[in-house]
Amino acid sequence: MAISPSIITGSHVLKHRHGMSGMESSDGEEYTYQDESGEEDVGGVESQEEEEEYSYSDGEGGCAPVPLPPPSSSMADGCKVIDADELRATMSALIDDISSVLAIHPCAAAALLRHYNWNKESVIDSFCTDPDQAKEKAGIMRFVPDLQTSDKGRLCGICREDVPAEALVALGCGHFFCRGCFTQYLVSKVEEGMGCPLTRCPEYRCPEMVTENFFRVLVPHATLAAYLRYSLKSFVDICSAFRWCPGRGCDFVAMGNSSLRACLCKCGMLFCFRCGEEAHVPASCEDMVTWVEKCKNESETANWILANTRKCPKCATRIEKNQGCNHMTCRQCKFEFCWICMGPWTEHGANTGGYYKCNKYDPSTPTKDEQDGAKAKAELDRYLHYYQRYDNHHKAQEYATKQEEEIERRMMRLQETDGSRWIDVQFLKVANEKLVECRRVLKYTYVFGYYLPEGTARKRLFEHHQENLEKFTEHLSWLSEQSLEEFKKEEKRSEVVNYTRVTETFLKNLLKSVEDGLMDEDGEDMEEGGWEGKSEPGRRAGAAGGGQVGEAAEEGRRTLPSRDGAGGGARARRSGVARA
Amino acid sequence: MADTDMELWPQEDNIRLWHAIIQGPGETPFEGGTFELRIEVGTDYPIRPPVIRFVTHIFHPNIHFETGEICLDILKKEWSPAWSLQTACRAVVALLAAPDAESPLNCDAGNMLRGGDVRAYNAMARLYTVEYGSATRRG
Repeated sequence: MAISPSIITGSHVLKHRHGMSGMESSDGEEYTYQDESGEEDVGGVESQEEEEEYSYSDGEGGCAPVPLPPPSSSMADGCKVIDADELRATMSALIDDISSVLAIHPCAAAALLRHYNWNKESVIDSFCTDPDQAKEKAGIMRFVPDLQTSDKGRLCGICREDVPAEALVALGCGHFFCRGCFTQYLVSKVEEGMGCPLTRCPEYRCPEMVTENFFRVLVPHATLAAYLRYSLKSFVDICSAFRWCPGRGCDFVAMGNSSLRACLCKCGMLFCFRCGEEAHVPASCEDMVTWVEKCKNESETANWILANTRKCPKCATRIEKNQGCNHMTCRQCKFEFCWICMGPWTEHGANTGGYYKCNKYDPSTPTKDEQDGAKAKAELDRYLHYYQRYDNHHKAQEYATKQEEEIERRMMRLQETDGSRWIDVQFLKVANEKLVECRRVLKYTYVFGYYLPEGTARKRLFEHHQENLEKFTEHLSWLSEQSLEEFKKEEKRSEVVNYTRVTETFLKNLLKSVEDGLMDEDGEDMEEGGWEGKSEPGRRAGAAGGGQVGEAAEEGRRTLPSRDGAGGGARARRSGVARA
Repeated sequence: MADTDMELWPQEDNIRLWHAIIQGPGETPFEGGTFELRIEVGTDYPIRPPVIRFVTHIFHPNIHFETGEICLDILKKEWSPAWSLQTACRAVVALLAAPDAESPLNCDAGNMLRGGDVRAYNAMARLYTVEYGSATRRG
């Protein structure tokens, strides 16, 4: 691509806005944060927060705010994390079960289970229907628990030597080989790796399976250990009820089912049970596959463009930002704009009083460049919009994760300076954990959003949730980074505690909304649950008139349980007003 | 040696490197041709399979035209230690008579067969057999 960068330096003192404060803070820039008074949305936030406080007080006998342990993530429910020993016990139990039900040797039971993908029902089914066929398929037709010995000397099929009877061994199939060759064969199978639990007799196309007992008798200790590891590994890989934790160097295994979207491991890793990647709600596994593939393909171009250049939104000159703040002035046309959203800078000041919605993608702005405004280009711009925000949240998530140690230090210091108890300073940790979670979800909302069709009521509702969560996450991020001096004040602590809760409510609202309402195309195919039906008129209205997103959101929220519902409704009304 | 249609011998200075001359099976476009194979026998043979390549150019979907690499399950996953070099060579001869267009190393040959154009495949295979298929034992 032909790019002639004209280098421009930002020349104004940067005032970070909600939209990006968390991301910027990681590059070490100094910044001051201040709520822009008169901003309707922020005003709304304050009052909502009061509502939240009241409702929590009601629920907890009027002793709010109390720093509570982190609310357990409802997403991680229904998932049990076990270690290798427990896993081995589970596997043995299953084998023993089949062994006693079908009255066969455990080794034969294991071979059957392996053949039928560890599905107990289909093992029993097939075995009861036609035991011979099941045995044949599983390679245990002529199963014997121990090595066969020969009654006379023979030629070993592998080394072609004449071997005396006592040095010959065979499986139940009676293909004799000398002990040394057989052992070598088994060792080489284990060295080959993964497939070794399915080793068959060395004779060409002999279906007889080499079961665990033979490995135990023949191979050296270290090889046997490797065999058992592979055996366990294939058990987990095949069983859909298990999933290895993808965390680095983590040996834990999660037990659950594929409807689980998120599973929390003992090592702290939160991952998707279905695909084994980091938990990516609200985006689906399929979206993630396409997204990751896309990012890989576009990454070179995208990264270079993102890292180095932007077009001036007015005259389309390519601009490389090499230093300074986000307030840019184009050298060509003197247009002043924001480097993050590329909107005119005049919309960013306190004097306009408008909260700038940086999370929204407006297809009309980047396609102004009609000269080479090919569709592909618009698509790349659209992708970049989502990728950039995805990437920003990703970095912010990493930053917040790295902060964990620092937070511990801050908690210690806070305890030392004003004699707070351990429980009193927990709020910092809780807030940071919530931040990490929100960053992760926000990151994936941009994958979800990218694949959500433009211009639909669903998308508007989703972006509304996204915007709320983003706004509160940024504010919480700023709040929890304040100096320790600030946290000596009780009201500051309560603010963090409350914001943590409010942010969590927004997080839940977003996820719940995606789970329930956004999943169906414009209100069609709605069958289950009364609320979806009720909310339909509201959504239809939202689809018809662009200004009624608030109303639609409100309808959706009414269905949320108790206090969340009440607070959410009020919130939605406010934001509806704020936008009108 | 039992097979009259096959010659198999080790290189004089290296017992781990063998050579074979096989004959194209009858009723195939390879009929009448002779092809040289190069057989590397590893230290772990016969636990692990030998590495066999065509030295003579041959037009066949499962044999790489330039490198002579062979795609045959019994030389990879399905290898049995009870096999010998002779049985392995016999399997290669059998492969010449039974090409598998689904896993092609020579895509042109594979596409002809998959497209059902057996005449074109036979003609090409015949052409190369006449052109190259006259290997003889050296040394």
